[in-house]
Amino acid sequence: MSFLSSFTSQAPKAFTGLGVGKTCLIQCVRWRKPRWLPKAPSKIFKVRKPTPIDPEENAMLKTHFDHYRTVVKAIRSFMLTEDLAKMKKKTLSEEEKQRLAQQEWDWMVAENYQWNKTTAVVREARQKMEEVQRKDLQERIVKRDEDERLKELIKAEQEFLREKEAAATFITPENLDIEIEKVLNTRTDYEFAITERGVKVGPKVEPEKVSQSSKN
Amino acid sequence: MPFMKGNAPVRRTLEYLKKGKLVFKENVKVMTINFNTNQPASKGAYEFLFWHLPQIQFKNPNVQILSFKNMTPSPFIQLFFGDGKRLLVDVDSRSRYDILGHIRKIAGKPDDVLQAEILTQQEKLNPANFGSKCKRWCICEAPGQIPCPSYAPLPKNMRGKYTMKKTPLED
Repeated sequence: MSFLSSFTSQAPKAFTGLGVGKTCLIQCVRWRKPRWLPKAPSKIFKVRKPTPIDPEENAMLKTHFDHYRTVVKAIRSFMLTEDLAKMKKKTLSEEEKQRLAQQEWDWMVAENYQWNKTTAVVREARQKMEEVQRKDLQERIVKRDEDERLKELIKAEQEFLREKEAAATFITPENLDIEIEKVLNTRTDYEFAITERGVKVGPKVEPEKVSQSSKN
Repeated sequence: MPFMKGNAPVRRTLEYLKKGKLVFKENVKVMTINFNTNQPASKGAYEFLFWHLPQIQFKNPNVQILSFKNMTPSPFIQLFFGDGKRLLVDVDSRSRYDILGHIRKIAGKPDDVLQAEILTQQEKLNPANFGSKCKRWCICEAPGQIPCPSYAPLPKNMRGKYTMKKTPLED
């Protein structure tokens, strides 16, 4: 027995009453004799008895078949749209391609603009705060420098006063000779030792002082 | 670099590199990342660079990626396209996930396109497939295999004509 697989509008008898549309069917064809041979003389008046239809079963089959047909139709239409879209994409003209590219670019720019706008709010707030902090720091640095300068000034003034007071005992060209004379007339004896405590010990050092300082 | 040395060596594992989601569109040629060190606003940009740069470079070997350190007041990313256009993305105080998501959205290939590309590539790569868009039309094209009988006759031990040949009986 051979099989003939074909697309046909003919459906099995049981479904003809249900309005089954164009579907793929597999028909059995026995290639027993060539197609041009007529019916056998003994079968000329044979009328096939229709297959009995059980109404209950038919109703159930109808439901099942409706469901099946809906699903298949949906899949077919989905694949068809997808295929068509693919084909359309493949056969785009140069102008159309450029238009689509431009459209995509515009979308990208718009999307990025939104993102940058949102980010800018945060960034500007941060930069503003940083600017305030920077100014504050600058001010504090200026203030600190000013304070330090003032302190230096006061210190210098005190130094100046101290030096002014000390200037009375300074050696000047006027009293230079007198001072030299003074130094020449002064004799200092360095013949002594110094203990760990800083006490001078020697033959010419007065003994009372030694005993007195050693007690300390 | 040795495999398990340096910071976060997981970044260099093949598994990690393959998991990168960002595949740039065809016309993206260069990406530059500007960030600062010791700046909280740059943290996301730095982390994006640290964690996703290996993956992006792995998935986009033909895209040049540059990073500039401490050369900007605020962090940003710039994308350069083949036709001379460029796009500036401000990434100040953004997390690395945000940045990756945005870049993927505007300059990355969408998921369905990627999936289709992977499928076609798999079809092409699978040596078990024959025909158009495949590596070969017939197994006879593989070296070491028997040529098709239409090009060269099969060896005699494979041909019924010879194997089933009966030796004539001698009288």
